[in-house]
Amino acid sequence: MAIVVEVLSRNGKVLNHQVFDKAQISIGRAYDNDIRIDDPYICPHHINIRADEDTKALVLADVESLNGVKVNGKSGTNALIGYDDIITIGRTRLRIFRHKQAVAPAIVLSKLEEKMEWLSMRRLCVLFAMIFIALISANFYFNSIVEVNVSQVMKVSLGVTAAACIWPFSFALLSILAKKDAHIVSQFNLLWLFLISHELLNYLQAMLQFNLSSVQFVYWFILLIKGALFFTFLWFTLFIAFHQSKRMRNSISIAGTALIAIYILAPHVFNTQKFSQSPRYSSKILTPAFRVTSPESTEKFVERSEGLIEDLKHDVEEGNQ
Amino acid sequence: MPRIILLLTLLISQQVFSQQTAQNLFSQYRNSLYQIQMIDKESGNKSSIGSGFRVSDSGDIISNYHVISDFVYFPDKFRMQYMDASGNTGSLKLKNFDVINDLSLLQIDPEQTSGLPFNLAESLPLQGSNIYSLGNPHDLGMIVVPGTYNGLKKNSFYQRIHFTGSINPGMSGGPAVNGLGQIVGVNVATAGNQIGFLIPLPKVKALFESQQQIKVEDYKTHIQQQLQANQNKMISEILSSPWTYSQLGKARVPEKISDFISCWGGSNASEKDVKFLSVSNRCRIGEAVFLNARLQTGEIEIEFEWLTSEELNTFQFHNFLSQKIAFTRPGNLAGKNDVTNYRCQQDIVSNQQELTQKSILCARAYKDFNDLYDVLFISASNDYADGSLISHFTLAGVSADSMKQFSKQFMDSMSWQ
Repeated sequence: MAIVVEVLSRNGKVLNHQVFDKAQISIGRAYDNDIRIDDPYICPHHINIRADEDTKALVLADVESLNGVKVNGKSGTNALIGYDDIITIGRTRLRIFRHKQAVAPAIVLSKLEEKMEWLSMRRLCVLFAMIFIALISANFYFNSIVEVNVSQVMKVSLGVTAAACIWPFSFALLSILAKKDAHIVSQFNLLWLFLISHELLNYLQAMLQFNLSSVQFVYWFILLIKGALFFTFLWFTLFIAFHQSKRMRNSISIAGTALIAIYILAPHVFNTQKFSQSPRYSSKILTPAFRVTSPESTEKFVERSEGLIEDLKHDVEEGNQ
Repeated sequence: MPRIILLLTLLISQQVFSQQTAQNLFSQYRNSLYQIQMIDKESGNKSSIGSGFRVSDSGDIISNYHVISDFVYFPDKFRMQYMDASGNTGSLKLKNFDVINDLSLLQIDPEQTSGLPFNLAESLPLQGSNIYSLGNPHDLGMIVVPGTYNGLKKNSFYQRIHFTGSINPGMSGGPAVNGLGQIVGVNVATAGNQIGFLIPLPKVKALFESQQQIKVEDYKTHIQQQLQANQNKMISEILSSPWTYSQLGKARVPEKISDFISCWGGSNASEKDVKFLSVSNRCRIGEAVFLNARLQTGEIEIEFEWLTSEELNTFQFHNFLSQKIAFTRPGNLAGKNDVTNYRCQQDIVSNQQELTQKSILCARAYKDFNDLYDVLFISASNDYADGSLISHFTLAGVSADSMKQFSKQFMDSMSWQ
């Protein structure tokens, strides 16, 4: 017959636990207690816990304490207590139960966890970071038509990189707070992978919008892929950072992606009727080497404007209603 | 010495003659000159003014369309009123109007008129003759401005008399008469510095003689018919006249597509510290059809620009090109009540002369008028790694057919040397 005592934190995390192979234990601030708790609101001898010989139930007895004792928020001396009850004395929260308490069955070790081992490679992290910086620098260099020097390029790309680092550091910090390993290298690798794919998607978008006529479709297609990419990124970030149920992780990832989506889609949804003097189109032009589709003939291009006219007629009708 | 005296006497006598004629004219016809006022029904006050003149005993008054355009667009919000030389006011009716030539035919109750109406001249005067413009500038009262008839404006799609003399705001719609007091034109615009423009006699005659009564509900249809006919005439004239070509960088582009579209060239060769060379050729018609204070149409603009750079690499150059063609504006003024938003289509197109260009064609529709569109086109050629030809045009108020025909001819007109 043994009694288990767990001291809990405010949000229910177990701070320490002790097992006593006795039928009765005492809890208080004095040194002669079985469990000593250094809490100024607790009496030297605050409560006793006794295991009933017949029923094997645990009975809590208040030893005429100053501040009393609460079981699940209600005052309870001589209460029967078990695994589901939270006992509060002074400012301390305890859980007291018999050692034969059943525990949940073990969770199968996720194969994903094993498969993601490679993410924690430091060398990979350095490589990815260098690829990302190179992409950012190239982007900056090719987009500028004024004089650029190396220090400017470095300033910009390192600035972007430093800003991006906030993400893995915050999640590492959160997982430490949640009593888990920081997995800082994995978090960084995940971030680099996300940012690199994002950059590459931008290049793909430019390439497609330059070559194809349906620029709107390309825009939405790439946006959809970016959405899926962000969802995956957030999901794995949470997977590395916390022990969560799958449902919880999925919900947070969906909510996060939805938030970003609302931010990006809002102008498309709410400002569609806004009048603008300027036309909207994609002006992306790439060097002739990137031209992969065969050009259309003038005749076909002009014929296609029938569709434009039809759409405009529809716009006018809609406006008149 | 005697010669100088002779010259002086001549000058003085000319001056005296002008004054006499002006005085005569004014006293003879003062009762047939009116100030035309647009009255805002809400406030009961005049919101704009112009001039007008009576041309018949039955009370026909001629003025500009733009003087009464508020009434045409918002017959419920505005009414028209005249004020004669003695300050009497009364209401006016709108009989007919011509938006292309900026004319309107109004009617006043014949019983309210007195004195002689103006007569229309038989023909336009000889170049250099004295003519007189009458009107009410800045609400200061009726005045007479002597000036010279300098023939019809050159290279202009819309016929206008070139009048050397000051026409000021408020004189719009007033008559221009010859020494005999006969109408030769109607005041319409000024280009500043003693250059004024008048609508010539034949257009005035045509409207006056039509004597057609347009119903209030048919105003928009009437405008639509005039715009359609005008754009049809203009575009087919442009497409049927031979285009002349000139060299621009490596390209050969149309230089002048019509007599009434004037062109200017430019380049940044004289500028220092630029990383690219730009040579351009810009053409525009420079005249617009006024429909209301927020809507003008009939503009045509064409631009070509050859860009090349030895300092930028091909990626930078093409990024620069993308930025260069990213923002285009329509050539004409239009508000959200008048037109839809632009819709665009784009693709890489290779024309008949094997010139490949990323082409963007945009159009917006007129809400009040069927089958009239503002069209905007911009393209950048994509055949050289270090140079590109940017081609651009805007057409205001053309039909879908005109848009297609013009776009096709324009896109096929460029070639490499």
